[in-house]
Amino acid sequence: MNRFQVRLFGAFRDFSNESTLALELPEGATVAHARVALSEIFGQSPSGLHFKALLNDSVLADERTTLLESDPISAGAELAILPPVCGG
Amino acid sequence: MATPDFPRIEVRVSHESIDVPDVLKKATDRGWGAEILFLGHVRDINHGKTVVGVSYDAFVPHAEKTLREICVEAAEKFGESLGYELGMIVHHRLGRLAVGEASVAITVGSRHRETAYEASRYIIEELKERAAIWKKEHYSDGDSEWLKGHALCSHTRHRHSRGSEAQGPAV
Repeated sequence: MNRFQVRLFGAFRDFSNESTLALELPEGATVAHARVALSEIFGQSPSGLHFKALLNDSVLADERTTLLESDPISAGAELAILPPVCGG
Repeated sequence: MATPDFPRIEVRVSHESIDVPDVLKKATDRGWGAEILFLGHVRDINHGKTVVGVSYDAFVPHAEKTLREICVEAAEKFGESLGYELGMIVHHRLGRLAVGEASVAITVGSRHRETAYEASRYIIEELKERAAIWKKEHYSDGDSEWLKGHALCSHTRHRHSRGSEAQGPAV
């Protein structure tokens, strides 16, 4: 199993007092698998429908770029879930 | 920080207050006849609600990289075709800001005003759609709300397709 982190930003910060979620997925897991795992975690919240809907409009990213659903996730990776943006 | 290949580009996403004289000073050159400063401020009313402050959140390394890419695009799109260089400074605030505080500063220096206006407008519009920055409005009744925005796309999809509409900027 690979352990990795997903940082929370924007509206996802309301999901948890922690700024990071710790996930564990089998070796060979991709961003698509991480998305399913995140949906299950968010679904356990009383506001699960809100966060799952937000997840559908969000992308996963590392510090340099947004990621493809088919991108593999390596052990120890530090990813982020990015909801729709609104700077300025 | 400055981008090595484009030394006249500087982007910063931080909690530091925006130093307008410093921003202006960095985007000047003897060969440039125009300098445009755009300042975005926290507005007191948004969608009929009285705003008392806005909290800005960002994935800083991702946002700064995107802002540098936007500046490079502006330089190529508006400057290179005319054979001259642009100077671009983009600073964006983080943390809680009060009404009237500057949330973003964009300075563009250029030989001529048309290019400076075009590049400045391009940078702020692209920033709003692509930079990993979020804002939460705080209202006079004690409520607060994360604003909806523009959905980002993974790098195989068309960059400007959107999954949701912007609720409207507080700038």
